[in-house]
Amino acid sequence: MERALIATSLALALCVAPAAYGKDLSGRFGIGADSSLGFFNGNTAEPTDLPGLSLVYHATKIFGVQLILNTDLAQARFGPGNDRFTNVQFGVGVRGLINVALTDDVNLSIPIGVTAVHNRFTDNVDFTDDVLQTFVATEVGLRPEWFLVENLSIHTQVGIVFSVLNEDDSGFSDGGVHVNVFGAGDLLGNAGFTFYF
Amino acid sequence: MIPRIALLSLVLGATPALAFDSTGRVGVGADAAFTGGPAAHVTWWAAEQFAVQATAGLLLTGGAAGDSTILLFGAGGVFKVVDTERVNLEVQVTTSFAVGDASLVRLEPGLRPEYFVTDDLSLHATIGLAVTVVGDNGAPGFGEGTYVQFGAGGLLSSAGFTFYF
Repeated sequence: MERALIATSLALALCVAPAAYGKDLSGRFGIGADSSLGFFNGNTAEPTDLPGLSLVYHATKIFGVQLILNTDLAQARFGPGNDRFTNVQFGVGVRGLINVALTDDVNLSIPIGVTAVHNRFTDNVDFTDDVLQTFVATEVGLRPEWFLVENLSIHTQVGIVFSVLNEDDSGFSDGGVHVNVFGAGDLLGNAGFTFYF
Repeated sequence: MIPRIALLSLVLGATPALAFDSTGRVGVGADAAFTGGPAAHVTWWAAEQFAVQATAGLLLTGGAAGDSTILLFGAGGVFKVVDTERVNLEVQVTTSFAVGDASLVRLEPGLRPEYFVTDDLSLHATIGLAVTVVGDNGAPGFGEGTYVQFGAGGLLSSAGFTFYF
C-alpha cells in the first residue's frame, strides 16, 4: 500500500509540475515572422527593416542560424498620369543567433548578419527611367526571445546597422558607409514570432 | 490483475490529450488581413483539423481628402497542421474582397500559430503570401494593378483573437 501511495504521489507530482520550457533549442527548427534590423536606402533617416518569413535552426545550445525571406512584386498604375510601372524586389537576411543568456522563459541572443535587397523599378511608359538598386547592410543587435509556451516564442530586437553605400543609393558615392546605432528596431517595430517544431 | 492504483498512475503519467480539439466549436473575434484591413470573423471548426471562416469589415473615412466607404468581406479555411498543448500551427487560406470606394480581390495563404490563453480565448498572428488585384477604383495604399507580397504579415500587423463558445 505504501508503494502504491508513493507511485501515485510521484505520478501526480509529474502531472502538476510546471513545464520546464528548457531553452536549450539544440537541433530544433522554427518558422515564423521576423525582420532584419534593416538597410539604409536614402529615403528615410533610419534604416528600413526587412520583414519576412523566418526560418531558424538552432545547431547548438548557443548558436542558431536564421534566414529571412521577402519578395514584393507589383505591376500597377501610379501618379497623376496614371502611368503603369513594374516593381520587383527580393530581400534576404542571413543571420547567426548567439545565445548569451538563457533563463527559464527567455533567451537573450545577439543576432549578427547580413541583409541584401535587390530592387528593380521599371516605368512602362518611359523605359529610360528604370531604376536598379541593390542594398547591402550588416547588423549586430540584441534580441530577447520570450517563450509563451514550449513551442511558441515572441521577440523584439534593437541594434546597430552598417549599410554599404553605392551610386545606386540615391546619389551616394561608392565606398561610403551609413551607420545607425540603436535607431534600428524598437519594442514593436521589429517584433516577431517563432513556432518551434 | 493490475492494481487500480497502478492504472491510475499510468493514466496520470500518460502524455496529456491534445487539449484544443475545437471540433464543432464556433469562435468570433478579430482577424486582420496580412496587408491591412482589420475585420471581424466567425470561425467554425467543422472537423478536428479543419475550420471555415468568414470575415467582414467596414472602413469609413471622412475629411479634407473626401469621404469614402469601403466594405471588406472574405471567406476561407483554416487547416491545423500541428497541435500542441497550448498552440496550434495552422495554414490559413483566405479570399477577400473590397467593394464601395475601392475594388480589390485578395488571396492570402499563410501560416499562423494560434495560442490559447485559456480554453476559450486564443491569440494569433500570420505570415505568408498575399496576392492582391486592385481594380479601377484603387484601394487604400494601392493603385490599380497586381501585387504579390511574400513575407507579408507579422506579429502585430496581422494579429487577431478568437473567443470560442
